[in-house]
Amino acid sequence: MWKKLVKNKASLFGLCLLVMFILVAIFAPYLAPPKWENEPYRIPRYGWGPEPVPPSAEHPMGLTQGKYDIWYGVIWGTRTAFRVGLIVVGLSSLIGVTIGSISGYFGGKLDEIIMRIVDIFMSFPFLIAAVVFTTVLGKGLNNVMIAMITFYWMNYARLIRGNILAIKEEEFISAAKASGVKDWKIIIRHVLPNTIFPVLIQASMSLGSVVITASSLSFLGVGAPEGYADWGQMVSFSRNWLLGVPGDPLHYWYTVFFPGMAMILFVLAWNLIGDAFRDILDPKIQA
Amino acid sequence: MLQYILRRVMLLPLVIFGVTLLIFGMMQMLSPYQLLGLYVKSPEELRNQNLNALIEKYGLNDPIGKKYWNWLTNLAKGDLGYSESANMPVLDALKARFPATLELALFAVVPVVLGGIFLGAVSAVFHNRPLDSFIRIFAVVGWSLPDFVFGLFILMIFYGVLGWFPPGRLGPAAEMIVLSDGWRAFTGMNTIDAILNRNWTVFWDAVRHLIGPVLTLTYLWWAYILRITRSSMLDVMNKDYVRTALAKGVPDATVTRKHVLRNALIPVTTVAGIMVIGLLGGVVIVETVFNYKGLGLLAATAAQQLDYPMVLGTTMFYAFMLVVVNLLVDLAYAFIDPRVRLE
Amino acid sequence: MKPNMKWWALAAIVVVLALVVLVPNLTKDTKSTQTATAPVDKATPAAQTTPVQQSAAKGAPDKETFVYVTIGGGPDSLDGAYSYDTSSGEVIYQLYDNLIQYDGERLDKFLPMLATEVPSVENGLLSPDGLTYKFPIRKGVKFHNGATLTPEDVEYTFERLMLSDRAGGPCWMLIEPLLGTMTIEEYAMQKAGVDSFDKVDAATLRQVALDVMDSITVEGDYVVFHLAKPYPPFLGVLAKGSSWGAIMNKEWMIANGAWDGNPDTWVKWHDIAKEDMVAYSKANGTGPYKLKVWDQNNIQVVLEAFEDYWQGPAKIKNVYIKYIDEYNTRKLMLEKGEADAIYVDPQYLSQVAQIPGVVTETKNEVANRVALFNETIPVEGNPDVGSGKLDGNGIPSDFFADVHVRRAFAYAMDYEALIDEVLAGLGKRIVGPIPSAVEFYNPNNPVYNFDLKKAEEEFKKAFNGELWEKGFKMTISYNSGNDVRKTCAEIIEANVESINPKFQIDVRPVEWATYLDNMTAGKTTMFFMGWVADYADAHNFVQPYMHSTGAFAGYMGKHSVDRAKAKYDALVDKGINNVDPEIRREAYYELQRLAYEDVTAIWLYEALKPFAHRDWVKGFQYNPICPANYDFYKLWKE
Repeated sequence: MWKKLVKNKASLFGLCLLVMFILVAIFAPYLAPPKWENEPYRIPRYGWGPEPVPPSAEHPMGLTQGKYDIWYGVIWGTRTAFRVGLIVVGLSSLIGVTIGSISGYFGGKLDEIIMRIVDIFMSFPFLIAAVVFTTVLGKGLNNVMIAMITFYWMNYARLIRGNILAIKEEEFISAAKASGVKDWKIIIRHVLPNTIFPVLIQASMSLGSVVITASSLSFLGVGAPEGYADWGQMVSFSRNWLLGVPGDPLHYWYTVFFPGMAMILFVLAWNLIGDAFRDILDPKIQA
Repeated sequence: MLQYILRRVMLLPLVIFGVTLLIFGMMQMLSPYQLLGLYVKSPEELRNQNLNALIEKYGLNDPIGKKYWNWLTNLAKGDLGYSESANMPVLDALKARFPATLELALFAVVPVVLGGIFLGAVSAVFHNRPLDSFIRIFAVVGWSLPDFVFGLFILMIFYGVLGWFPPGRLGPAAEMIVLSDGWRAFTGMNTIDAILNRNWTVFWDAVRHLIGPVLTLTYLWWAYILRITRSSMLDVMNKDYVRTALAKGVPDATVTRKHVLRNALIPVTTVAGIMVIGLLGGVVIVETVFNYKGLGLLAATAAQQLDYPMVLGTTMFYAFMLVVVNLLVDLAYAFIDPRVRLE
Repeated sequence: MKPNMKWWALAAIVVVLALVVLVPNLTKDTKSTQTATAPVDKATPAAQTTPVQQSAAKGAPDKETFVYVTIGGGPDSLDGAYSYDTSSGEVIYQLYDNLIQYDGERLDKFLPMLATEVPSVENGLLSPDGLTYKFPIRKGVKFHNGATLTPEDVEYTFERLMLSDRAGGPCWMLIEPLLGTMTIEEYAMQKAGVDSFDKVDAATLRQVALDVMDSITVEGDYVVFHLAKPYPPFLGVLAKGSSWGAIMNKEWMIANGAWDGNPDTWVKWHDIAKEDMVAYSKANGTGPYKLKVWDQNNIQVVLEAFEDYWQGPAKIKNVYIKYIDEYNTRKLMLEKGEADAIYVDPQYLSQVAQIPGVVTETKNEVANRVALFNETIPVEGNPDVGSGKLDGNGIPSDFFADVHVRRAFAYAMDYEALIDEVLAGLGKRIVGPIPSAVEFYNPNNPVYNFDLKKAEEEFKKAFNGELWEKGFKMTISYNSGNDVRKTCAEIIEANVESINPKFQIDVRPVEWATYLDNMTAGKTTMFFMGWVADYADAHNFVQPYMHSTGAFAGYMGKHSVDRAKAKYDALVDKGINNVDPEIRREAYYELQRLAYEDVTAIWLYEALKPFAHRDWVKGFQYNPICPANYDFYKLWKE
């Protein structure tokens, strides 16, 4: 599998990007030393005025609205992106897989109840639900994550349940059941290994869109607090400078370019890898 | 089949009940003073306001049971409450804003689905060749773009630089016509109303205003449909009957059209249905960027301002719509796939 | 499945789809816009029925149409007895006229309007004791529906307003001078001697209405206001620019279901929901514009010139006020000439100023912004005060009760950076609670200037030197989204922390709703506030900031309230209860001096209001007290 991942040019590119982002995240304290030791995610400001300042030797990516250092924000924003993406996708898939496999495996009344609860959660448009819940919980990244997990797990639950239903009647499961193996052991040993791959693909692909959604919340004004190292917010800082000045639409290009590119490449990396994963793991296509 | 539909419809109130309970539960995490933020919007407005009198007046301190009961009894009378953020009754706001969003979604669905299917089919046919890679990267980049960034770019290029596609729903000239007494609003969707009123000025103006957001949505959502069409086609292409057809010497194009595409479209239908819901809910950002006064913008504003009659109203509306669309998807599924036997 | 099953399924899809599309519209015609047609209006349908075709071509603006794009969600209510926000005031301003008006951009001189003279002691219309104001009512003024203005209309307008007195509304401004209490309910409760409005008996309620009706009377062509106590700002309360002074048409109001003038029934119309009030979304005023539509779906207000306006019809015939929060959209509309004027945040004014053909101006505002201290902070479960003790890991409850701490903070604020950088020059320093445009402002009042040395000295004196030894840790919160407040907090943070490494300040954003919650619970440490004038008088500023019952007193802690009771209350009362300008001046100068000496707040700045419009817009003037940024009646396009 690894070989295939590396052989495909697109996924190799994705992989390289991802490795680069991981390195940036790890070495953030060296690439952009924090001004406040205990608040590394707070972007330092170099002045109090609103107008952005173009890149210079001192600030290689310039200063965005409010004189926040873009380089610092992009570097530490990488950590934020990983944190948001991995936590939201990790926890919601964990919750989803647990609930979904219980529902699918045991079936009957339990399945019915769980599926109705899933229906209820699915009845909210994701973005609106996340906005509502974040506003109720109060602004901040942690609350954004909680809100997103609350309205994201059902996707995984449905997916795994569907897959389990498909293989539940297969011989090896019935055989295990007949021989008196405990239910949870059957789920972990036999059911999950045969149904988990679609979930993994889904997870890797949604990692990117989760980061986009989180930044959309920042854009709508309910995400990360002002000045927090978060790409979405940095892009929204550029929002009112994007159209430049008359005669020079690209006057403030750096305010959107660097954080925007970071976000696009990050999401792209996950999507490329997810795409490749799908091709590799989908046995039907391999033939 | 009828039984199945009945069952689905019967479940609707249950789901909606759960939805409202969930929202009500969430709103309980707020203090009365926080809910007051809806009525007193900035420190400058505090002036001589007696905050406790306001809390009393709007019943913000009532126990949850009472609030919920009030809401339910009003609902029975067909009254969804008054929305402070939209400044009109919730029901009127929903009625007024829904056609706008539906219009946008319908205009977006066509290029997204048709374009997506076309690109997906091309991609599958040219599996693992440069064209396939190109289309896929093109689509994946779209999928990776944050909607607000791309939307602002479109606005910048097509309005800022070229001046072609302005934001909003109608320009002042067309708006004058729509607001005049001679105009009949049949559907609330400007393009359709314009056709029914036989007024081409309004029609073209409405279309002009739709292009920006539609363009944005189209590019962002292509990857979604493309991916499913492609993998579904590849899936079908490997099926025995296709191989048989090919082996028999049936021309490639015919096989693709007759056997592959048709069968590959089954999952695409499901996804397209879900996508309509996704579009209806997911246009929040695009509506914000293009100042398109639709349901998504309404819901987001209400959510930010903690306007809970409106939040309850929209979610209920969405829940209702979701069930209806899911039903339609199932019907479409039965129509396209003759093998489906519904119990 | 039989073959024809397909077609059934297809038909089902079509039917359901059609239902989904049409259901919202089957019930009734969905032009759920609020069309404002007065009943008699049918007589002049010509202007309404024919859609006006116009070319929005670049560079050739339609001279009769004005498009103004601002922010927010539109008006709250168009009823002068309800609305208390500038968005509503802006529209009401165009629809209604008041008894008197300000002279252009001046705040100290009034001109007649619907009254033919401005009452003064000299012309005998104001009694020397300041208790009786007589307004001669202009004859021949037409309402939008064709009715003629009478003194009874004026009388009814204010009586209805006082009795309707909505909670948190603007009506106190008439109730206070005319009845002596802040609310009508309070007045009724006092009269009945009970502690709840529900317990007031019917007879007393009737008496309350009769008292209200006695306080405003008609004498021939005059309307007479009988004040309960001298109230120097009274003319300012009534002058154009105040929505609560907008004159309505009695007959039309009653015909549409407003209070019928009967003293026994007024409670039915008292403090009702805004959408149930008659003039909520309809209007029949005497102003230069008629309400064509308040289109809540598209969030815009469309106005149409009133051809029978008593001062002659307006040159701009159609006005569109649109509400668009997205700055880029507004800017592009101005750039394309689709908008004639837009609202611009101060920080983007320099961008807009570079657009060819766009004029930007700044005007004074009668409003100021301050940072207030909470001198008695509850420490129980309050994360903002750390340990809640003077031990270097928090602040004690009475941290800001020490005048040296307050003074040190006032010295640590970099006022110049705030105004020049954060506000991009769109601000002015203030010396105390009274803004510069208002009478009795003392330009020579002492102020604190940014001085870290002096701040250090003050910190060393605070808590007998203990604070300097131990240090402190606290949080300053601001309502998120307000960048200026955030930056103010950060400037204080950076400067205070640079004085002593043991001083630690955190800056924390909270939602506006939560901010409100914390503030009302008195839990904040320091908080940012602003005050926009109701009327242009010093009293309107010293009362909220300094009186022990002022709007902000409750959030500033017991220590501060006690000091206000001891030192400021008498002065505030002296200022409002005297008509003699010299006595008033004395009181207000003393209050401004005390505001400096006691550092009751960090007096930050008064903002300059930015304006941006196309250069073809002529006749622009702005009165700082006025809620309308543009007085369309006075404008024309070239």
